Amino acid sequence: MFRNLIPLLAERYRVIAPDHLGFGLSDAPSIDQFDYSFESLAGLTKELLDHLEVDRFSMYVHDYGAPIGWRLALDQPERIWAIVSQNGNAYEQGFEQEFWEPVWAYARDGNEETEAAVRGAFQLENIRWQYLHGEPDVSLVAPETWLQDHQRVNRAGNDLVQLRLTKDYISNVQLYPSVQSFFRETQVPLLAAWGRGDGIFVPDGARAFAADLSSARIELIDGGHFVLESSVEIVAQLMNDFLSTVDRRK
Amino acid sequence: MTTFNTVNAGGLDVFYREAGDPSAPKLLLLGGFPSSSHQFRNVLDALAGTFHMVSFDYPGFGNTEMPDPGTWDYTFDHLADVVDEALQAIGFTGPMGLYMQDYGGPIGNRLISKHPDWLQWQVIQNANTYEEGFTAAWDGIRHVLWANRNAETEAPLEAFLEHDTVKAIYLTGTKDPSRMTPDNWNMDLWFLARPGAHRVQLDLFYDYRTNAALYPDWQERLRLTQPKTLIFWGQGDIFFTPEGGDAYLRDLPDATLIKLDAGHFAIEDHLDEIVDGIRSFYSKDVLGK
Repeated sequence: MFRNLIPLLAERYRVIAPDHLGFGLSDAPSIDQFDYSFESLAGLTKELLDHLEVDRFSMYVHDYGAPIGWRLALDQPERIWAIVSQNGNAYEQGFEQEFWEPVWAYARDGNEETEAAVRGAFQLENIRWQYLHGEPDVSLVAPETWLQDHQRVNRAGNDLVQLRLTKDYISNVQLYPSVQSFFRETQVPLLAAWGRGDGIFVPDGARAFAADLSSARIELIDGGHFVLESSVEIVAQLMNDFLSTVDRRK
Repeated sequence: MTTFNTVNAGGLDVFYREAGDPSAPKLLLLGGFPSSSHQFRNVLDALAGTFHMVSFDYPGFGNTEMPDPGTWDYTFDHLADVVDEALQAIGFTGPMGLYMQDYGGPIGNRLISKHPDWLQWQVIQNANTYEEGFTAAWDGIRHVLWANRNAETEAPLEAFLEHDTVKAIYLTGTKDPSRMTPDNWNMDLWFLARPGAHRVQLDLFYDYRTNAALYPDWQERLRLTQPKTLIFWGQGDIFFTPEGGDAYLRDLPDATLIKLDAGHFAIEDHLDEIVDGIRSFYSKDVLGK
């Protein structure tokens, strides 16, 4: 999802975009071999950053990247010099309720019926929806996005990996009060560059940062959950402007 | 900015990528096996300020509809007809440049036969027109399948449609594999995993014999018309030999041949050389500046 953004930032920054375990081209061990949770994915991300000798960094968080990034920040707040949240949620009011209700139902009681409801997310049409919903011009969105995701999610056993993470998502919501305290205490520089048409995280989730971060810059962009597909230049411009104003030595 | 579109042609929903100002000079991008217009994604971005470009997914490839090979004939004639109809449907006609890679050669040559006035200049990248261009990877197709097509002669060719071989098409001859995104073969394999997709590709392997039969005609046309030609040739291509690139100079002594330390998809790891080469060739050799 970052393939078009990386070249636009690479002149000024060293850019790293890991595939989380179970996603993309990283290994995808079965649920018997690895205990998938947002906590364990954050642990691997921290190890990767240590391995790459990344001392301090700014982070761009999107969707699952947010709870992983928030855990990095809570664990080692001194490493983070700025945050860009692109539909990376930290507030209850960011949830699009109709989308999330089946997730909460599955977390409360994982049975055949609640599992069937969340399994819908692995189907091609629903992955495609994540990319196209809220996009004013769907002709700007490359089909290889949802096709590749569909291929990875449909590997043998990957459905069980995704179900584990779906079930664990509630742990992120439980973390929100700590994340918000972190914002209040550190006043970390934050840019919210948020696709306003996202059917998963609504614009109130972007506006909410202002409650805890008085200088948060909040920008709503015409686009959806994967706004980088249609508006990469706008996001890159906002990021380059924002990051250049932050003193990263602090 | 590239857009992703469909147009109805030959009764099918045909997918195409488009970039550049519609008033800019036209450049048609015709790609090859086992990819789709996906292979031109970086070229479309890089040359959008210079050309108006389109690239179609052929039926059976990429995002274009894949009709049942039991009822739809997968031949190069048929693919070229669909591309021709799609070009006319979107009004991308008249004098243009053609970028031809692999299967893009046979399809482009058929288009030129139908519309000789469309060819203003051409880029040939690992698109073969000479017998000496075939590597040994073709042996099972040229010497076995074309002689006698049956389940037994088809079976070994299905290897070209499996993960490791599709990946090898990208990596053979590629100096630095870390510059080759796995998105390429993963994307191809998604399409090849569709029911009937292997039959489609085997039909085209078999029909490629019609291209070999037309090579002398295409060579003769090159000799007679001497189109302005820029050749990029990945020297390590799994399918086409370096001699296949050199051979063009016999018929086109004025062509520019740029040999690349690359494979079948040189465009993945030699993008800068290729787009800079095209810009410079267009400016100097086509416009005469």
